[in-house]
Amino acid sequence: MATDRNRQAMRRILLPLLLTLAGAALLYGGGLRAGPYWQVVALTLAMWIALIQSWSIFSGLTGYVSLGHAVAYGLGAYLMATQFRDYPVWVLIPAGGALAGLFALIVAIPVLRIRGPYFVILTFGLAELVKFALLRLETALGASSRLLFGAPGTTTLLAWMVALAAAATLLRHFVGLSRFGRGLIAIREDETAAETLGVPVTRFKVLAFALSAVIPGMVGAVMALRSTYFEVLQVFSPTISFTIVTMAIIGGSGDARGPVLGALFLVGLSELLRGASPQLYLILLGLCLIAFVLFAPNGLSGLLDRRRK
Amino acid sequence: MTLLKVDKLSKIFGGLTALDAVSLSIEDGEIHGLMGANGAGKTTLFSIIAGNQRPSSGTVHFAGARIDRLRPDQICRKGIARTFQIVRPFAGLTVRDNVETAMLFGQTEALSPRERDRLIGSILGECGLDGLADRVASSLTLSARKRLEVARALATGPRLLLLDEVMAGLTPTEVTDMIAALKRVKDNHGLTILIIEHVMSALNQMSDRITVLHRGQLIAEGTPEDIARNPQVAEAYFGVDDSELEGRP
Ligand SMILES: Nc1ncnc2c1ncn2[C@@H]1O[C@H](COP(=O)(O)OP(=O)(O)OP(=O)(O)O)[C@@H](O)[C@H]1O
Ligand SMILES: [Mg+2]
Repeated sequence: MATDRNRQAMRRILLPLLLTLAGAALLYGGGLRAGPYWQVVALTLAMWIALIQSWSIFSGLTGYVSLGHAVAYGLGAYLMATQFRDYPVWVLIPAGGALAGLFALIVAIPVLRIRGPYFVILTFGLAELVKFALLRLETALGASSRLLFGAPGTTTLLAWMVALAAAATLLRHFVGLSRFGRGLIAIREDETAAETLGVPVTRFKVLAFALSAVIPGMVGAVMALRSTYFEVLQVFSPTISFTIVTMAIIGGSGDARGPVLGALFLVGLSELLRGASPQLYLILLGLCLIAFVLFAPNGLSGLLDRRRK
Repeated sequence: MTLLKVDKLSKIFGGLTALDAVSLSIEDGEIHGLMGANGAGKTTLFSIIAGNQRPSSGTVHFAGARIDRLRPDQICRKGIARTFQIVRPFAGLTVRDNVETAMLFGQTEALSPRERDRLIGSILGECGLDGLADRVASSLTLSARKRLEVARALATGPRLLLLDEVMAGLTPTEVTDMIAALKRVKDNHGLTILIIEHVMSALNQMSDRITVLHRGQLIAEGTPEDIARNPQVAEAYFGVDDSELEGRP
């Protein structure tokens, strides 16, 4: 019994912790050594891992698919772009996370009353609403695009991004193991049964939604530094939300491995093909998506489990 | 002592009166049967007691406190657990995880992992699910799913258990087993049980008292013997009264 529990602690706590740290070290160290091109690839990979893991804290665990996570990313980027001259970066990155989390908290209360497919459409609609409202605001302010002068270099940003990816991965893993996560999973499996058995479903959904927006806000703040250029339409782009969902489907969102696999797969595919043939990339992407939805609904991580059994 | 007091409870769905001023008292420690033809309002009554639906009017008190304005999770933690007539397992989780989730959220005080393991083991044993702990709930037979409903409800540590047709669709041997299991469970956990069942012999064997609903109204209440002799009940179940015949071509 005791050794059983030790082995379980090893498998659930120590191993994921070590793997995440090793992965982060590899990504950062490898990126540093491999030169500027690979640094950008490593940065992109870390960005998607951070975004999908965060998304999965809410959508993977509760089953409510959010198509609005670009807003969290965008708010963080917006804060960075507007405040960069006045505050240090290490203040603005966490502040971007806080802003995104706070916004999600406020939005969640009305939005999460909706169950089922309407929820997906609502998150998408809200994201578009925020985008165009901000566009109006920026036009009124006469700031249709903003430049950031003197942003930190790629290696600094890579360090930030890898740290965010690791944090998001650990957060996703440990939330999944916690009592909170067990409640979110119960909501995914059957919301009515969950609340009848004592899960405070509304509070949990709202908290998970807010929590899942924090790191994307920080990611957005870092990415604003990376592009040194801010434009509402580009940053609040629905493509970001769609890509998160695509990678989550391909990798699987049932555990913390899936988002890593999904990001690796898509970033890899895009590196191989995008330069040579962007159309081929998109065609393959579509085919992969269909194949996974039909034949491997639990994604690459689900396939790994199936092989083991 | 009265554990549950339902007072003039009504529920109206659009134009349909599913419950019409139903009043009912459940005594601490009894097994109380609830019967009535299809559509009588039995499940609706459970849904209101458990907080899944709001009453149109009337009140529910549990252990002296009013509960009809509370959320289902709050009512659960006050000590009421229900099962669903159409079972609602967490289909993708194992039997053990189903039960453990209920334990993590329904129980008012946190249990240590060791206490949890022990309690899960004993509940699975009581419900005849020992061998199935690691099975995914979606792979269970109907009979096992019904027992999982009971196990999960028990895991929340209730004082009052609401059982909605847990014997429907079971074979006669399974029904006998279920009756024995429920009696054991009641004694082990010191429960009060309100049980909906169409299998009348099962209700008669188990119940201290029985309440009969008919088209949303309470038409009889008493011991199983009283109910068996009640002409109104016989009519509601087997006969058709004149007023209804007149309305037909
Ligand atoms: N959510 C709902 N919306 C509209 N009508 C409903 C709803 N739930 C129940 N009803 C109606 O209320 C009446 C009572 O239903 P209820 O499920 O409580 O009956 P029951 O006694 O449990 O029947 P059964 O023995 O078939 O389970 C039925 O006529 C039913 O169609
Ligand atoms: Mg019913």
